[in-house]
Amino acid sequence: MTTPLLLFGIAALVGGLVGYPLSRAQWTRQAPRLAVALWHALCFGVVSSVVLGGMALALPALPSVVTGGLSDFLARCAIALRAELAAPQSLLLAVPGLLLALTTIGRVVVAGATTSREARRVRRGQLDRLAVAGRRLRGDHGEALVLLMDDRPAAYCLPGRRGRGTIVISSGSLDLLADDQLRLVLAHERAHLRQRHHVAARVSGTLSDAFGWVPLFRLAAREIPVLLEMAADDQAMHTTGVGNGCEVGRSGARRRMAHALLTLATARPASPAGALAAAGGSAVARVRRLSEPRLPLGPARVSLLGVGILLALAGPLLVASSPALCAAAMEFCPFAFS
Amino acid sequence: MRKLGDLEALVMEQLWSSSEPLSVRQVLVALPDGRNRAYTTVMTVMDNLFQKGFVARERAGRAYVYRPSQSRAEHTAEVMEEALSLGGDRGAALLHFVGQLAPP
Repeated sequence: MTTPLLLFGIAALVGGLVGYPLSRAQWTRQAPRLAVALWHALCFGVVSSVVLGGMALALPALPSVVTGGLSDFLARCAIALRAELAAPQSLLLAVPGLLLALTTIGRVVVAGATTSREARRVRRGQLDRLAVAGRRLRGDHGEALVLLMDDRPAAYCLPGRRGRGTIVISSGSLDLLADDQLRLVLAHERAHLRQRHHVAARVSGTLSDAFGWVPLFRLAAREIPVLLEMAADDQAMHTTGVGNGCEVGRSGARRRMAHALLTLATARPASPAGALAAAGGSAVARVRRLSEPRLPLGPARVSLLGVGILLALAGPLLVASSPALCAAAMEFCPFAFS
Repeated sequence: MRKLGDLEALVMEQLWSSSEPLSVRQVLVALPDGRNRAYTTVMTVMDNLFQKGFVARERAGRAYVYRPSQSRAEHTAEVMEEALSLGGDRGAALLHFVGQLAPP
């Protein structure tokens, strides 16, 4: 009984508490991609804890044909697992346990498929209309670039397959941006496409749709889009700086990026405020971040974070299989095996 | 696919600049490089546009005549409004450079 309890305890702790300090941590601004990886690892950890906990409850009741036919070593593990888990009361929890595991997985898969389908539908509609209403421009880097004749500022990308997508820019944006700012904006969108940020955003969005009452998932869905924007800012400054042998240097690039952000974010006419509050909120955080010099994380912190990510990913599985691992070291294990 | 998209744009240009509905043959003749294009290709493109709802058609004798269902400006407005309203959507159908700050 201790294994499922431990797993559910981990899920509750990580899902309920860890998100709050992480969303306030300043280091995430210095290493946004690492932060996104950590958020995802923690979310995966919570989901896998619940699923493995449910399966741990269900295992005693599973027919032995499931574990039959395995190698001798695995068979011994299974027996030891059952011995550890099959307290009388836990047999009653087998069915709820299995249901919990299956419905959790099912909910995530269904939510993911639904948002994917919707996103594909929107993209298809956009691309169809852009083909006739927009003007195709020649992109410097092989991506599709479309100009939309509209005074309102807009610059966005539509992800496609294999990191190639379509970048859309309105004539209103072109009117507002200087040449170097425009280069940064396009490089930012290219970074979104190349690094496939829409996938990262959709993972956290899916969990937040499926289980929005879990604080970790809700906070991840709020934080990850902003972090991805910061990662794209970094990549844009990196590629445009390297690409044209610019004499301006790093602080100059950050200033120009901030300027491009402010130019587009404060242009009139503003769109419906409510809908863009989420995206507009990132403008403030990003400009603030760009007004400080870039301080990469030291190797010690990066290593620590790497360990944390690995723990979050593999931890629940280790806990779930610990009775079996114990059985593997049979001489030292208290489980008698006759 | 990209070539067909280009052709769709050219066909719509013809329809928009015409004051009356056009048949496939009329569009074919009016297209730049029209002589090098197959009638069936243009017909397929115009049928696709009809399926997408961008053109309306009615019979005129044995053939269809097509007219645009929306102006270019209306299409642009729809694309813009959809894109601008999807600022923070969870599905990440599209990714903006930056949203707009609400006016004070």
